[in-house]
Amino acid sequence: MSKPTPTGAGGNRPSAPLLSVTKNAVRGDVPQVLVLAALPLLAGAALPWVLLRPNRLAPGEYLRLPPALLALMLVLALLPLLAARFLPRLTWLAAGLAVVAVFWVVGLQTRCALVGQAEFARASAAAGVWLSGLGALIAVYGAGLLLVGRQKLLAWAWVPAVLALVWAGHLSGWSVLVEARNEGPRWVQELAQHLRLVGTALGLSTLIGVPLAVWAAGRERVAVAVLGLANAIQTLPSLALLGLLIAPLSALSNAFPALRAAGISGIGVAPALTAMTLYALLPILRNGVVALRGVPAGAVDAARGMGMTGRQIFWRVQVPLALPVWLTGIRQAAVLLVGVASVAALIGAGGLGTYIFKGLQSAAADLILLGAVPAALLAIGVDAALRGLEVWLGRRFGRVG
Amino acid sequence: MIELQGLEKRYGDSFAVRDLNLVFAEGELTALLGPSGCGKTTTLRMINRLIEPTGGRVLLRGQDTHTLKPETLRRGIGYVIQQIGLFPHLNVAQNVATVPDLLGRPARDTERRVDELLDLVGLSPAEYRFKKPAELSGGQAQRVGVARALAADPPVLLMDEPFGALDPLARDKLQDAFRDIQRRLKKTVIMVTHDIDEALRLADRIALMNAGELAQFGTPDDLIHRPASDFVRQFLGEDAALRQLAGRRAADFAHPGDPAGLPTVDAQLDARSALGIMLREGADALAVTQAGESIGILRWSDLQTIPMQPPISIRDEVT
Repeated sequence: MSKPTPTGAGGNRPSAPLLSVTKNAVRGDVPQVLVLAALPLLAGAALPWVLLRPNRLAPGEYLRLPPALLALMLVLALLPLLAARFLPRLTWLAAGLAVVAVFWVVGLQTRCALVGQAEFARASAAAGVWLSGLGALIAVYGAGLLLVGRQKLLAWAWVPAVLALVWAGHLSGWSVLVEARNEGPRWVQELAQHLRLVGTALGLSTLIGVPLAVWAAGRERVAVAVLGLANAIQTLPSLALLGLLIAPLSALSNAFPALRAAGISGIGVAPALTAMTLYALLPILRNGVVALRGVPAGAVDAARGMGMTGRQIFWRVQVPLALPVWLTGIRQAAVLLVGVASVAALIGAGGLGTYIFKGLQSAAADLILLGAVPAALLAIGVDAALRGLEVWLGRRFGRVG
Repeated sequence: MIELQGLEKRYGDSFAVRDLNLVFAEGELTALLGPSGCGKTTTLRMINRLIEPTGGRVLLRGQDTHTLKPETLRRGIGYVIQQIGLFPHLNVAQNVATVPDLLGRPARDTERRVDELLDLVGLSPAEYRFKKPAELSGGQAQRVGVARALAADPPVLLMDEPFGALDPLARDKLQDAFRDIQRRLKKTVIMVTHDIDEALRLADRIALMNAGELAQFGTPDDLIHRPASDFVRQFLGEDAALRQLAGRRAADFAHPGDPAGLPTVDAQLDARSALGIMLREGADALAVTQAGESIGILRWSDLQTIPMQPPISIRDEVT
């Protein structure tokens, strides 16, 4: 078989010098990145910021920023650029201020717009907000490049400030948060359901995939068969896989009343979990096989020659050396699952996808955002957390650090 | 110490090793020498049962190794391999402590033992204890490999082309260092090599193998001066005597005598170069000097008999 290659951050030490070269190149380009950030910020300030509608479905009118706020946003658009030129150490502060200002102005403008309006009126963020927000985040990214080591955390200083704004109710007029307030506990439930789906499917596929990878790693034919099957499953679109499972699972639950009693049927959680588990198998299997095969043969031979038993070799040598690459596969599976879980709402499995589809059906953009933004943040968060774990393990096992 | 009786390894119809009878004497270094595919590595791996023989026996101090559990057998035998085989996820001290840990020795004793061994192989414990294998040069890593094999103080050491992956300079230094260690510890060492110079330099005895069978077993002198067959002579090459000299220092051959009027050579110079100087100068004797002082003279005729136990050379610096 053609050798499967691990994707993502494995142990590719040779590329390290190359990477630092690019890093230096980027560092030299910081002003350009900040110019790139200033353009959407400037354009965004001039565009409408609020869409005011009498209810969440009706057409509405676009509102622009008043002159004072327009001037503020224009100044903040240029501030990171100026800071980078004259006070590079405070660039992070200028960029962070831009992000916080976007949120603050959104809160202010949506609340102002709603004054004197009926209860069902909605004030949504319009193009200016999204463009300015994009620009501000690019500025934060550019400012982050100027920071080294621990200082990099300063580039995240805007997060607690924005959270404080939300917490204090400053953004309570923004339509997305109005929907969130209306949904309230139900939204929390769907989020929990989303996490449950991802967690369960990840757990199941790890339980199946890890032993399968161990078994396949030493057996060429098994590896070809197992990886081929997992590959085939992966090529099916997730929606199609969910659909394909409806028929056999309905048949099963009809044939065996015990299964139906256990809650297994053609739609709902059972087919969703089945599909998600199958989906997540490929990255776990592939990286597992590659990682175990990548364990240096010399280390295993030496371990055997020094009198380690098969079990000791597995736990003391193979597992620690395979773990970093393997975890990359589990991380990829987790990120994949956050996405597939959103689709699972279509067959009644719940999760954040519920809001996306509800919003699509009723053409309510705020509802879509209520599902899509947390799902995206969840994927990013899961990715970052597991990546951190990989780096830590990589440092602990094997790599110089 | 170790005896191979009619040892055989067959794969289907072909023999990797056939009817091998050998006795490895206690405290001696025996080189298993031969071209690739001659069965030398298979033989080595049958001794610690990494490969199970299809016939014959291996006796370790009179005991058939087949009666032992393979893991128990292997924990009592040091093992060094060519790719070094250090565990990349463990630091130097943890690597060296592998077998003592497997044997359940107390951690404190092992810790002391690790430091002792690192000293022995010429690595300062304070500097190297916590380094990861990736931070070591090839020579340093193989020193750790040797220390690891010696950690549980096994009477027997099996080495599979231990210096094969090193560059020539590091290999020379490590061979010297290992010769000193072996002279001090007197382990029963069996070393697989295809490098004739290495075998001539380190081995007390050489078992030369060809196509799974023993071609000749004897001291380096036996093989050079009394080859049992054309194969032995061809394998060692017509310059075998010179290669043997290359592994010795001029000082090893020096005898008391009058150095007056003779060309001088440094005591640390290898004996082959000394011979070259004789040829160039047209002299049949040289004055051997150390730090400017004459320590004796080296005659042409001295070079025909290789001294068995050259004195311990000066401690080598770390490669």
